[in-house]
This record gives sequence, structure tokens and C-alpha cells, in this order.
Amino acid sequence: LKKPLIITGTGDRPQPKPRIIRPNNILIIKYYLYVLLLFIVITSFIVGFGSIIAIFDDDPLPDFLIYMFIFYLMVWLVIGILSLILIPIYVKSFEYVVHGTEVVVRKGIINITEKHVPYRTVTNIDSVAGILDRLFGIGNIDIQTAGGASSSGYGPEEKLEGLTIYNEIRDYIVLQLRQFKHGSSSKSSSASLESNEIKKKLQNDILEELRQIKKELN
Amino acid sequence: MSNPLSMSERVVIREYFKNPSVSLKFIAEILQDERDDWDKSDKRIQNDVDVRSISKFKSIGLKKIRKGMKDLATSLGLDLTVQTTPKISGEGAKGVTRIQIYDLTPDDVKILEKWGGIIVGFDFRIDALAYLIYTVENGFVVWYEHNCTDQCETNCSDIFQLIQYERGFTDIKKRINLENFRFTIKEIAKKLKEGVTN
Repeated sequence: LKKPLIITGTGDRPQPKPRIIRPNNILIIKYYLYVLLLFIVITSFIVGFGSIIAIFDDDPLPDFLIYMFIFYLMVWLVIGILSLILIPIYVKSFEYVVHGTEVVVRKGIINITEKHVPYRTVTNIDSVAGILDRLFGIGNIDIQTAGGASSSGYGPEEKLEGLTIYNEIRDYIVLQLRQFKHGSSSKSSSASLESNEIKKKLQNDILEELRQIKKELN
Repeated sequence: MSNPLSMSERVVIREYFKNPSVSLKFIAEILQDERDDWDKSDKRIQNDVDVRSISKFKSIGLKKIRKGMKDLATSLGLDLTVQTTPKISGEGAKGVTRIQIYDLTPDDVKILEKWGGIIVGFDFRIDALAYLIYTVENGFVVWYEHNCTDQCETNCSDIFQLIQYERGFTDIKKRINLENFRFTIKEIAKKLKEGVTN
């Protein structure tokens, strides 16, 4: 079959406005899975521990332990219901904007944070896709800054999560970053060239002045 | 991938794109006329054309076009989200900055995708808007927004004229520019909207 006709054109393109990028809704399912996995791990640990006690102890399990377990399950029920309601709202609040000079990350339900990461502070950009991410066809972009730390104290300063076209967006940020750094370095190099010329002129003036003094002394 | 439609579907879609409010009966007559000239050995075209089969050809054709466009958009890595919710505070701006990427409304974008064989997406790698357009003659065409130069103008103008012709524009603009192109896409959306509501 014929390939599609792709016309990229040779002329300049209109300057695109900042674009809001939102995570894919699959991220909600990923978060649900995290909660479910956490429940399974903790519950199996507790049940396993209870079984070991029951094996080595001939007496039946005390009532308060059974009540504690029921209470534990009820707590998880509340967590489950809250997760079902809050996770979609939380994920829907995610907004990433890539500007010409910075990346803006906005998220939160109660505390709404809007974090601006200027390109001049960015040191590393990684695209990461874990097992669950690959299963759902999404990925993340980690942005690290010089001396910056995430709110949790470790990991990247900013994380753009749940993106379907994360490779394209990473390339776009890298391109913007290069253009920004190249632009600022060319600016600084032109400034240093200018200062060199001024210095040279000043030195020539001093030299001329000294020659005049020497002539007058002679 | 370029043209996934059968001959009959192409005729139906061609007539529908030319005039979205055209009656199925009229398309049936045209298809029957065209079929008379086709090779009779093909069993699929031996049956008579009725309004029901035209409706079927139309819905299957549009479905195939949508699938083809979606696959193409995925392979090109296009971002298909419609930019409408401005919430971030702009650099140095007071209050809230309005961010609007398309000239089209979200409703237009939906109609174009569902009924019009056109998808508007953003290509982060090229840093430009891309229009995925289905043309009956050339199959799928991807046009990235740009100001044409002498090198690409002939090619771009040919495609632009083909799009206008296939979408039933009577006043065909020969020279392509960004404004004309965007205006044409908006007009197509308008025509489709009228056709769908009728």
C-alpha cells in the first residue's frame, strides 16, 4: 500500500503558543493498581504472620486480634472508597506546560501547587517507563535541576507522569532547552567579544598616552 | 494504509464530502451509474445499490478513515488533545493567561474527526500543528502548518486545491497560505455541522 503523503514544508512555522499537556486517564488505573498492590502486600504480611502464630500456638487466636483485623479491613474499605473518588480528581488536576523558558507543573486538590522549573536550572531530563507504565503504554519524564530536590527529599525535582507520547515531549523539552542554552551562550559570547574590544581600545589609548609622555620627557 | 476504502465506499464518501447534506438516494443513483462502467466480474458490485447499502458504505467508510487517521496519528506521535482549559498563570502576566492553540472550537474538532476525515494534532518533534486529511484521490495527507516558500508552494497548492475541490468548494483558492488553509478547515467544519444537523 502507498505511504501517506507527508508535507512538512520548507518555510518558517508560526510560533506555537505554550501547550498544556495532560496525563492519560490510564494513570488513574495505575494509581488504583498501586493502592490494590499495597493492600495485597500488607494484608498478606498480616495474614501470614497470624498463620505462623496459629501454627505454633495451640490456643485459638485471641478475640481482640480478630477485632483488630476486622477494624483493619474497614480502614482499607474507607481508603478504597476515598481512592476511588479522589484519585481521578487528583489526576485530572495535573497540568504540564512547556514554555520557551520554563516548564510549569500544576497539580493538587486541596493544596494546589504550581511549580516553575526554569531551563537555566535544568541539568538532566530522563524518560522513564516502568513495568506498569509499559503495560499501559504510558511513560514519565523526570526533570532534575542543579541543587534542586523533590518534595519527598529524593528523586527528580519534577515529574511529568502518565504521558502517552513521552518520547516526543522529552525530545521537545530537550530541543527547547538546547535552543535556550545556545541562545544564552551566544549572547554571553557576543558580550565577551564586545568587552574584549573595549579592553583592546583602552590598552591602545594607554599606550598612546605613554608614548606622548615619553616624547615630552625626552 | 494510504487509501483503505473500497471503490464503492470511495464513491459514497466522495459525494458525501462534496456535500454533507446530500441525500442517500442521490448517492445511490450516482454509484449505480458508475458501477455500470466497472468490471462486472467482481461479485461485490453485482448487487443493486439501495439507500440502505449507501448508508452502510458511508458508515463503514467513515469508520475506516477514522481508524486509519488514528493509526497514522499514533505512528507520527501526535498530541490530539484539544487545548481549551487555560489555568496557568503566564510569565509576567496578571491573572490568568488564555491559551488557545486552534482557531477551531472543540466542537469543530470533534465533528471534523467523526464526520469529516480530518484530525488536527500537534507534533512536538516538529513543533507545529499537523492536519491529517483524508482525500479520496491521494488517501491520507499530512500537512504541517508552515508559510510556503518557492520550493514547496507548488506541491502545497496542489494538495490545497485538491482538498477544496473534494470538499465541494465552488470558489477554489489557487494560492495557499496559512490563513486560507485554516479558513478552509473551518469552512469544512461548518459545512459538516450543517450536514449532520439536517
